[in-house]
Amino acid sequence: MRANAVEVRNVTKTFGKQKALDGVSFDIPAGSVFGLLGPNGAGKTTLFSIMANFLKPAGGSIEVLGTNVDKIGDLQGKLTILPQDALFQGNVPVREQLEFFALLNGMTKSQAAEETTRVLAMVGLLDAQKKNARALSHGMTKRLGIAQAFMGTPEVIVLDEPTAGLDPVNAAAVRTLIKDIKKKGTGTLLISSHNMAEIQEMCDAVAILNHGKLVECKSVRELTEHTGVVRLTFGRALTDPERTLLGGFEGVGAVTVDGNNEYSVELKLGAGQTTDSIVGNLVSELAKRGIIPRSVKEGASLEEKFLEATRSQN
Amino acid sequence: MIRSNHLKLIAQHSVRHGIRGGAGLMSILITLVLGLILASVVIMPIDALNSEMDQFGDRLTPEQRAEVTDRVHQQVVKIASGAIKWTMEPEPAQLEYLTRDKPAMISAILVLLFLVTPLLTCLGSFNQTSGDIGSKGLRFLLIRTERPNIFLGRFIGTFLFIALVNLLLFAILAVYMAAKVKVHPAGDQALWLFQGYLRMLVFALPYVAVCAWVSCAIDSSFGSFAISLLIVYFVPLFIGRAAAAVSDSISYAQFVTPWGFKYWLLEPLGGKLFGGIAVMLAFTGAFLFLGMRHFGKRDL
Repeated sequence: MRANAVEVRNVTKTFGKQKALDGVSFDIPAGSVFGLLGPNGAGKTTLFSIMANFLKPAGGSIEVLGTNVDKIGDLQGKLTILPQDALFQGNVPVREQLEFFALLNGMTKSQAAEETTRVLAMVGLLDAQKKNARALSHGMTKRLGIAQAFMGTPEVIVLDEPTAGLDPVNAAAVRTLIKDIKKKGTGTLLISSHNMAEIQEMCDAVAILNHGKLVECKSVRELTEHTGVVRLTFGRALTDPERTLLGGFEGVGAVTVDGNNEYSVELKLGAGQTTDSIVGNLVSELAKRGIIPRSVKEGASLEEKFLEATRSQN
Repeated sequence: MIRSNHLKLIAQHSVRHGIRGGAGLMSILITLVLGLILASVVIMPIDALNSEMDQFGDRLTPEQRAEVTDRVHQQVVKIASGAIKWTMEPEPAQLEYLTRDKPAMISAILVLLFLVTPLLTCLGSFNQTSGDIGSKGLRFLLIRTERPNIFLGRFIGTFLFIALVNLLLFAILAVYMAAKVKVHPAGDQALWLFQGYLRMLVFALPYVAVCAWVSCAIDSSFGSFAISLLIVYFVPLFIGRAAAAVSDSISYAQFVTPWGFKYWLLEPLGGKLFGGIAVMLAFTGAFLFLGMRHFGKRDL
């Protein structure tokens, strides 16, 4: 089995004088769920569009399953995408559109009909199969987009903001779909989203783009764990003397306020000290003073790392 | 890589979508209305003569009736010749072919229909890809097939749509004239109408191709329609006429588009007719080549 499902090499794209992507390179391991993050206008959709051969790069190349995306025909049925903001033909019934796509994917008429039924059921749109696409709500249209992306047995699925605009129930259903694929190990998923918690929950690795440049590409674990930071949540906000006390324990550096009752504590490991010993001591000393942490988490959230990475570029 | 099964699927889908869509319905409606209005310009005076003959018909002896029929026929040829001369300034041999060898009334209708063929073709084919490029709907196809299949599939589908719409128009004309305007033998009328239909389709071909090119270059349906019409009518009518007014030697400017060759397609079987067909096919090939090259390279 090939190690990388997608190889992005030095991809550059310009729109007029504006550089949307600037020498972006990274690999996406086969069988992984990979998140592409970035603020609005960072170049995520542009990169996805080049990957699907909608846009032509000004420089560099992208290989999917070892095939340059210029030869998109060779990836027929192996690469699918949920494009952002793409509209279905308004006056064509939902089922007819999906069957047409399935036929183009190389299925027979009966296979196309079966597959259409399967994916429509998967996204809960069987009842709407005879409706014209223009009669669907925004959420239903998004689900239809997801349905066409999950047709057949694609090896690489690109989902550009799959849960944007979906209600919590449908967003959770989409996440379940993605997790199912991850569990089965049947494909590689590439997802963009502004929902950091969602990406942290689903993805194995992420790349962060900012102003068209790659600023980070690591596994989610590497990004969020072992960062020398512990996050403590209390039942109430700490008073100033309590915060000073917290910062004064052995092995503890700066204390920053994350939220009302949340604090990030920087760890300074001395000789013979481990994270466990410092955190254990910290929690017991606080407990002795009647300050009981409700939760202790090691590492930063993906959101914090994202903000840190993009802030440093701005 | 061009795949015949993808071409077929996309063409079929395009025809169905064309008939269902608002622009398609508008195209059908305008083709039928304009086509029938133009035909009626020729048919009405002839129809009036027929009615007159029918009124007196019972009182005429067979000899008188034959004489009146002959006069009516001459009158038909006169009316048709007038229409043809006014429209296309034919060589005497071509006029003879259109008015004597072929049913004159049908010839006159064909000559008039040829004037509006580019317009009707543009109406049916301006939105081959532009609307879907604008809405990004084309992206659902781009991930499933190569660009030439989409471009050519839509072109074939649009041409079939145009062929179907015109078939409907010609069928209505054939039935109406066979039933009501019995100037020429019904078989001759139907045969010449069918030949005229095929020749008109050959004339429509480069216009479907030029619309395919314009449509894939512009992301707006309306913009595509406007630019297509400019190319189709402005170039031959304005530049051609202007060139002719300036100097005879550059009056050939009208031949930079298929417009200049249109009446070659109404010549008798022979070199000029086949030349006309070859020119139309050459223009079609050139427009398709340019369009496909542009479509293959551009961002979608």
